[in-house]
Amino acid sequence: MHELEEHLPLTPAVFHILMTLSDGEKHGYAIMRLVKETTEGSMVLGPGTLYGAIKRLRRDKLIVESDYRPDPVIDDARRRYFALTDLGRQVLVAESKRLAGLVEYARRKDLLGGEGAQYGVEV
Amino acid sequence: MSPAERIYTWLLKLYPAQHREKFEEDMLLHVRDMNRDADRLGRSHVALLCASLVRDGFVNAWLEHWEAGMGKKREFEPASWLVVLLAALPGLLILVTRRLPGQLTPLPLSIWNLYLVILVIGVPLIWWRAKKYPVWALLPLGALVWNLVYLAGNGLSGLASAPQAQVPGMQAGIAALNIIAMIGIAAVVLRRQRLPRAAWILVVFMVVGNLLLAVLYSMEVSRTEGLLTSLVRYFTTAGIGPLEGLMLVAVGMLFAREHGVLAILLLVGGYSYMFADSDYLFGYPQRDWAWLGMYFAVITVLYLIVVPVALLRAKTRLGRALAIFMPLVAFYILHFTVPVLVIPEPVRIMPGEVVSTINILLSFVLAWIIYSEVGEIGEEVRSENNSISAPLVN
Repeated sequence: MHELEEHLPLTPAVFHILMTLSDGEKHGYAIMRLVKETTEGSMVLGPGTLYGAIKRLRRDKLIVESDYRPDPVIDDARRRYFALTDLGRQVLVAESKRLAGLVEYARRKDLLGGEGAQYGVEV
Repeated sequence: MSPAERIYTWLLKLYPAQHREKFEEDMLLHVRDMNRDADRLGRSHVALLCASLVRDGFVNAWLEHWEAGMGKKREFEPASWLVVLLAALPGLLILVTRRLPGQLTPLPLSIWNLYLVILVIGVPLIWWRAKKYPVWALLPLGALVWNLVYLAGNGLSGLASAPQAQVPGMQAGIAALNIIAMIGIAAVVLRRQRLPRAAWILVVFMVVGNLLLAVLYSMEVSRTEGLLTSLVRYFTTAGIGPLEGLMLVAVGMLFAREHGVLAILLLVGGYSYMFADSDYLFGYPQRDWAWLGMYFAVITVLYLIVVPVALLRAKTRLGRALAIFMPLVAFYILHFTVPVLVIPEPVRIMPGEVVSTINILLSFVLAWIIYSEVGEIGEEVRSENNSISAPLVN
């Protein structure tokens, strides 16, 4: 547990990157597009931000580079794919619980009102 | 290659080499894909993408350098309080002897003589005992180097130019000596040491920036002068600011192997000429104003006491960076804002002084980049020598 806490809290960009990798390995541009879609365009990861985050996530062993390479006929064979590690998944779960706790606290303070539903919180 | 890819190819050069080796190809693929998507939406989207890539490149290149260098925790042994006191002594001398408002004349020459006495008496004593140049004596050495170049340049121009000449002969002489000192010392040091890419970029930026800016304030005078005189004036105006800084940085390189980033104290001493003449009143009404004494005291403490004390006592690389740049930036903010706020009449800040300030700050950044690298190599050489000598002792 102590090891997990060292990684928390996650920055919004890192949280979203881990979330997109939670359902399978992806290359950098696919991560960026999914994050953009999920956040309805409010978060667009430029190459510097994305690969800076990927470098740190690999260093912290939250993600690894996958051996998978796309078929050159379908996609650029130079693309590198990244996958979530067990530690990365545990950190993502811990961060999600931490955020859920914060939302719950806000709900108890009656700060969300009727809007809680849009954040996936029962009101 | 699209314009966005070209821009980002250039921006990638700003990243640390290690980061480029690992991610350059991926990042360019990423830009290619982003450009393809933006292109489908229209030219305005491509333009917005280019703007966002410039921001992304600059911000993240800086963050990667920060993490690669400054972010690392490196412990340094803080200097003893005696060394710190000796380094702060020039500032303390100026602080206690600075004339009060009502006598706004340059500092008496005796202060400079005291400055030099510290050097002349103190350094041989330390050299005799420790066999190395003492770090605290870098401040007065910087002042001495600057003053020697200034005086020699003045003399040189006196010999070379007619008294009625309109050419800024004294400055041309100083610029010439700066070039000689800078090239000579840099040639000696660079035979053993390659400069980091960031240092070269900064040098080119300083030189080209000054050549362009000098056009603004040398054209007006040039209309009444001959071509040759105008050219000399132009190149002197463009050269004096960056050359002064480059010369001091070059001299400091001689000490960076021994003292690393602490060699920057030589620049602090070199630029302390500001406290010996009225340069830092340039553009302001030459008269007293309320709190002038307090203002002088604060900027003297910030520049000549806080910087050396904090630098010598800092335990980390980040601490050293903050010790140099925070007081320095605060000093210049005060320098430009306080008189404007305090003096009731409109205060005219000369563009030349703004450019000079930028040159000084860039010189400090350049010195930081170069001395960090030279100092690390010096540490490696010393540790190798130690490991070789150990078996011999046994």
